[in-house]
Amino acid sequence: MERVIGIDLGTTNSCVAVVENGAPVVIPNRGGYKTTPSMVAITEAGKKLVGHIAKRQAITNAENTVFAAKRLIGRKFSSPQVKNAIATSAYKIVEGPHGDVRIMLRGKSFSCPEIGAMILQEMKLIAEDYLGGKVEKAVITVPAYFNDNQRQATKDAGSIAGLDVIRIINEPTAAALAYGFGKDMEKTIAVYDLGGGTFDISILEIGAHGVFRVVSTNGDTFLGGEDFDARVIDWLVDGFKSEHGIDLRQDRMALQRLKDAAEKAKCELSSTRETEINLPFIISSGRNEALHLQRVISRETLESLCQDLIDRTIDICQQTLEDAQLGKEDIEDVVLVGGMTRMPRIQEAVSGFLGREANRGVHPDEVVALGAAIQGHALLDNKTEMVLLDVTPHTLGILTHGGTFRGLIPQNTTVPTSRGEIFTTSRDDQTAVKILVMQGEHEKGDQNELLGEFVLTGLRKAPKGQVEIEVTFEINADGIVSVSAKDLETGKEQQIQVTASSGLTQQELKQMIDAAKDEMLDRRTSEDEEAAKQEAQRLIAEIERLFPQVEQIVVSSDFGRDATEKARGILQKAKAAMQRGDVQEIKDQIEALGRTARMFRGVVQKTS
Amino acid sequence: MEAPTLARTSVPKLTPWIDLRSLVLDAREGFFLSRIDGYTSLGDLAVMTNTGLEGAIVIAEKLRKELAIYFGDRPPEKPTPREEKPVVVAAEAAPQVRKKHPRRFTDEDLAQPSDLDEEFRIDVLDLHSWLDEYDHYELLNVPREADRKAIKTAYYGLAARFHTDRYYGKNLGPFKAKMEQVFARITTAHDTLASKQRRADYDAYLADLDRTRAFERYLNDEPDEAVAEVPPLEAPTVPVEVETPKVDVPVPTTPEPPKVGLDERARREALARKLSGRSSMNLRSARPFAGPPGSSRPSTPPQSTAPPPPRPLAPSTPPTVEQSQAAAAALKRRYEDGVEYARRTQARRLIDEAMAASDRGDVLGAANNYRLAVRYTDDPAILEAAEIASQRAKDLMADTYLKQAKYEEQSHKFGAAALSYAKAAEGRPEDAQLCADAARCLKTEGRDLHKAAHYAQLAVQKNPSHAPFRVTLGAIYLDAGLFLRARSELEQATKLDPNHREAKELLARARRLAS
Repeated sequence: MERVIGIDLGTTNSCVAVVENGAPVVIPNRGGYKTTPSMVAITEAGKKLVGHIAKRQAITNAENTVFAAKRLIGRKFSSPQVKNAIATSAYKIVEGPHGDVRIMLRGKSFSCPEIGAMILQEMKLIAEDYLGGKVEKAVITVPAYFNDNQRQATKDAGSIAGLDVIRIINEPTAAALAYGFGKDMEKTIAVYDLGGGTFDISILEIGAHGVFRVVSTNGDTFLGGEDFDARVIDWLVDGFKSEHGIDLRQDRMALQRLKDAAEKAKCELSSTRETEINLPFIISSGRNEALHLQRVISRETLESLCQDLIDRTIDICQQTLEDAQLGKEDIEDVVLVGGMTRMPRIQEAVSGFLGREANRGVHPDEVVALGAAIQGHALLDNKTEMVLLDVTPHTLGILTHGGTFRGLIPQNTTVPTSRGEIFTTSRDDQTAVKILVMQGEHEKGDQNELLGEFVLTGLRKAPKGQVEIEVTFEINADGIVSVSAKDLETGKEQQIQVTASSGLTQQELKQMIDAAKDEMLDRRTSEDEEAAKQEAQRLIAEIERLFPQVEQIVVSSDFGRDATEKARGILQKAKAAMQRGDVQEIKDQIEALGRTARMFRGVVQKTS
Repeated sequence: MEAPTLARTSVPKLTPWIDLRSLVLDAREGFFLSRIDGYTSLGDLAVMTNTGLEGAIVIAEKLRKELAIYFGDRPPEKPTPREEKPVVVAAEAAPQVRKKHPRRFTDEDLAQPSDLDEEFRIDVLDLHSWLDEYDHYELLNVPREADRKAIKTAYYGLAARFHTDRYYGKNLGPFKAKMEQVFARITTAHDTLASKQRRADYDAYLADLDRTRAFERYLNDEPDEAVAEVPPLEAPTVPVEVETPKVDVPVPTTPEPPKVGLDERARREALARKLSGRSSMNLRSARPFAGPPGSSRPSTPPQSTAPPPPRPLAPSTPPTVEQSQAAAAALKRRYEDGVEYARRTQARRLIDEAMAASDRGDVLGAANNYRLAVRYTDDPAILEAAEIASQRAKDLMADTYLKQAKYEEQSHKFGAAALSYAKAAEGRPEDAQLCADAARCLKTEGRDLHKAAHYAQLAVQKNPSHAPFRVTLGAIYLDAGLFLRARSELEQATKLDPNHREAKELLARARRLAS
């Protein structure tokens, strides 16, 4: 069976897993860590850094280090969330050619899918190293509350990274799969997922025949650990300002250091009552005098700074239960996902709301990737009896006359599904209608996300309200939306597949995929070349070291003199190739160098 | 299958290969069957078993359908086991709720290329072809009283079987779309039945549907002008199920159970007296087979004090012409007397059952039994009772149809809703709104504007001074492109109600189009 990996592409950290011998396992990266920071940086030399290495240099290279790009993926530049990110990010966010978001790094603009692709590529490499072979297929997770544009952008990121994304699934759903897979249980559970950037709550039924049915799902794509960090940063910045009268926000490097320190303090406060934040030489004052930041923060302070954020998640939980027409007592288990759920106050809030302790059997950072791997495995292996019945997180509909949004497929509808409704013309003698496909919960069309549009032409000229058009929406198991519009009178039908727009055109996407492929090739060959050079260098050094000794030993035999002459020739050739940087020649010479080195070693050993 | 119409002279024969124990029969039918010897005609059997010719024919029809008996020379062929083979529907052999049904797909459908095995392809095609006919319970293959857990388990089993993800990466060919449709339909069924409120609504709708279906049969069996004549010798064939109406629930939604008032009791007793000349108490005890044939009946001619023998006389000496004639006349009298007796017994039994049904609140059962009873009597009191029962049933049905129509309209099944509104309108001819509702649904459905116009016209006829009806009619005319008619209709509407906004808008359009 073909290999498929599951990738949790997180806001702050990413994780990759695979199913081996029927059990899902997380794949550690080269440093031995099970998660990899979702950070990308470009160095002064133009080198691309991903993961831990990017995180380590973030302070000194804050303007060219991207973090939390997931918060921007698939969004419009004009959206309030992007405006918010611009204010808090050290890197530069600019508007792309289609109103999308681009990130400027060392004078070059990158789209969000490209940034995501760099992280995905890293995860792919981690998996390939571990599995010792190529990996092409992947299941990637997204927050349940992502809209179709965000999902498509994530899928595009996968394509750019050279992955065949066989399915995009929701993070809480993935967590439920990891929780219930192979356990043969019948339960209704809630998954509370507070990650780095997003909050999701899903209610699922796990039933017979390996069926996982999502009952309802809800969330907030701009509420996560980053917001908790921001509260701590604000607290530090405000404190510093009142003490020294200096706004640390003006200094990008200081801001990055504050960010790191805030996140660290927040994590520490999950296990200790208080912690010290110590940032020496944070900034210099006007008189060229260095200032230090040193403060103690207690768990209570953190909790009071963030209480409203926690309350917001509980409100959303309440709403989700209502949508599912369930009471708190119907929830038989609670699964906590995401690093933020380590915070004691959050655990208290959730167990307080649902009236039961959360399940402690799953690892909040790894469970999502594990679930993604399980779903990938179940799809490719027909013998695995597991079916995921997911729902549409948003209402799907069209924009009608007067700018009102008419929902056709309501949120939390199990997919695949289809619905149709009859609409009519709004003007006299209207011969064409434009169908604007939208997603969202607002009554007003412009508050919702536009997914795509198409025009049905050739309608009969008639007074308004007379021509009837049947619009049918269909969502298949892959989450692909197709919309067809039919003139009921003429039977004329038009159909499109609504490919949600990631902000990239097909052409741009293709270019990016090709560029990434080339780069990958470059990277591979340069690694390859580097290895050859090093090997040649090592052999040359060894031969040169042994040369005088060997020369002395064999000086008396003609055969020996011939051999040393030959060896000298090989050395010269190899050195010349090294100087020219002729990789092919170097590779060709490595064998001869190896032979010579072996011979030299043998001669020396024999005589000593 | 062209089955010969059964008559008094038809002679039933037992099918040689039939296993009598496999038949599901009631005592009356069993008794009837035991008297069949291959020589006795239906007429004689009727007398022997006291069922009346009508009843005998009904029973014979049923037995013939069950292949237990046959008429004519050739016994029916034994069905081959292949036909008996049930179609595999679910992964697990759940208790079969779905009825056996014929195959609706072709071998060509089945042969469409895909990576699926044949058993599964059959399953998909079979289920898919019946999606529209199955109700939610049949679809999930659970009984109507199944609890939430059973519904969920059934749904999970079907979902795991028909979800396309189970065949990810496989070529599903044309089965993919069918699987998705099946999945969407079972999901709707599950979502409806798993929600308490929605299930209650749906159950009420199903109950209405059952009731209206029973009513449908009732109406189809009796043409409007049906007369209660002396039972014709060539009796109309009557399907078995009318005898025991399907509505076995005591109609909980009926606003008030029919009251058995003084009037009614008095009328019943009078009726009973007329029928039998006995007190109503005795009538009550006169169950179907209880009444012995014979002397006690006042109308019986004195010659035939003995019950009619099973076989006519078989004189041992050759008779004279007069003797023969007398014997024939006596035989005829005796036979007619037997028939008369059977008729009375039958009528009494039916009226009895009608009254019992009425007491139970089973309006439809009462109507049905009265309707059958009037075939055996021309008594005006019975006719009147039957008329009242029939009207009551029609009222109930109108209510039920109306509820059904509303549910269907809410579910966007406009065609079905229009039909239900129309049926409700038949039951309540005075209610013009029902016709207008039917018209509106037909207009929305947009398939048959001619019919839509017909109902709108009916509404207008019934209440010519109600502006909204004319607006509906006008709008339908507009849709149909009949602008002149639309204009005149809408002009009248605006005359009736000058402030009707929609009427004014439509009228403006109609004027523009008409000119």
